[in-house]
Amino acid sequence: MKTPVKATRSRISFSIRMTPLIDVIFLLMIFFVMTIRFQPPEGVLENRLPEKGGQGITDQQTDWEVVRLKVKLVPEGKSLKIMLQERTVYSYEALLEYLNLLPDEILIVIEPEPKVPYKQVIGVFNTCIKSNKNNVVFAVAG
Amino acid sequence: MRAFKKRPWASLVVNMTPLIDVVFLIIIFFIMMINFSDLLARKITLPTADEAREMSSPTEVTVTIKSDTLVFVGRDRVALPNLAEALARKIADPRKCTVHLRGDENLPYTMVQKVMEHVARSGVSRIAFTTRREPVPPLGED
Repeated sequence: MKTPVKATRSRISFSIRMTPLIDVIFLLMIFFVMTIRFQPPEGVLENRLPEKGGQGITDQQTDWEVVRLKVKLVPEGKSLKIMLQERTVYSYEALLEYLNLLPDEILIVIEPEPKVPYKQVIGVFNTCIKSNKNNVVFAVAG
Repeated sequence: MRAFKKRPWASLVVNMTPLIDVVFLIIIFFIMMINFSDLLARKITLPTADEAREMSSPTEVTVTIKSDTLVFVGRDRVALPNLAEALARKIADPRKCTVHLRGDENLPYTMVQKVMEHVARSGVSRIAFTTRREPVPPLGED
């Protein structure tokens, strides 16, 4: 008598070829590494505005000495000049030297011309803070 | 003795190539469908200030200025004449809020000044100029 043959389940060899997958992953990695651009660190320069949109501090309302920094574009070039009370300076370094001679308890009014680039206004404000002059306001038109 | 019939081993190889093809096709489809216009509209170059402090204001609203026609409160584009109203709607308590001003470094100051006036009109008195925390380039150097 013939003995019944037991049906065996076929064994499956399961193999994934990793080489093309790794190739593609490396290609993607190289692409992202080459195109990545890190966000530069950001910070803030804090300032106060007149409450309820009022006219702000005027020379008559404060007992502090008021120093006006008039920031103007030099007509012939992209350069700027910062007109101080007694003299005119053309660099942040010169402005810092001037501000360092003044007492800390003063009110600085930055008066930029309308066309002066924002970065230069921030540069002047930054110089004021560098010289520990924290009472800085921006002049409004009119 | 029982004799078991041995079946030949079935070899199953998973071909990854069509899978990767389809995945790439789907990735390309989604990349093409993403709407970058909003992101690009708010992409600006911030001015630099090495005295900028880390952002620490608890309640803040960001106003982004790219040009006179591209002003955003958060992610929403607003017309400049309606900026004060848009801010007033968004801010529950203006006394506790700080508005972060993100302006492109090449904006004329007059544009920033107008925005500051609108911020003041909305009742907010604390403003923070967002900058890159990097050394300020010398005046006239672009």
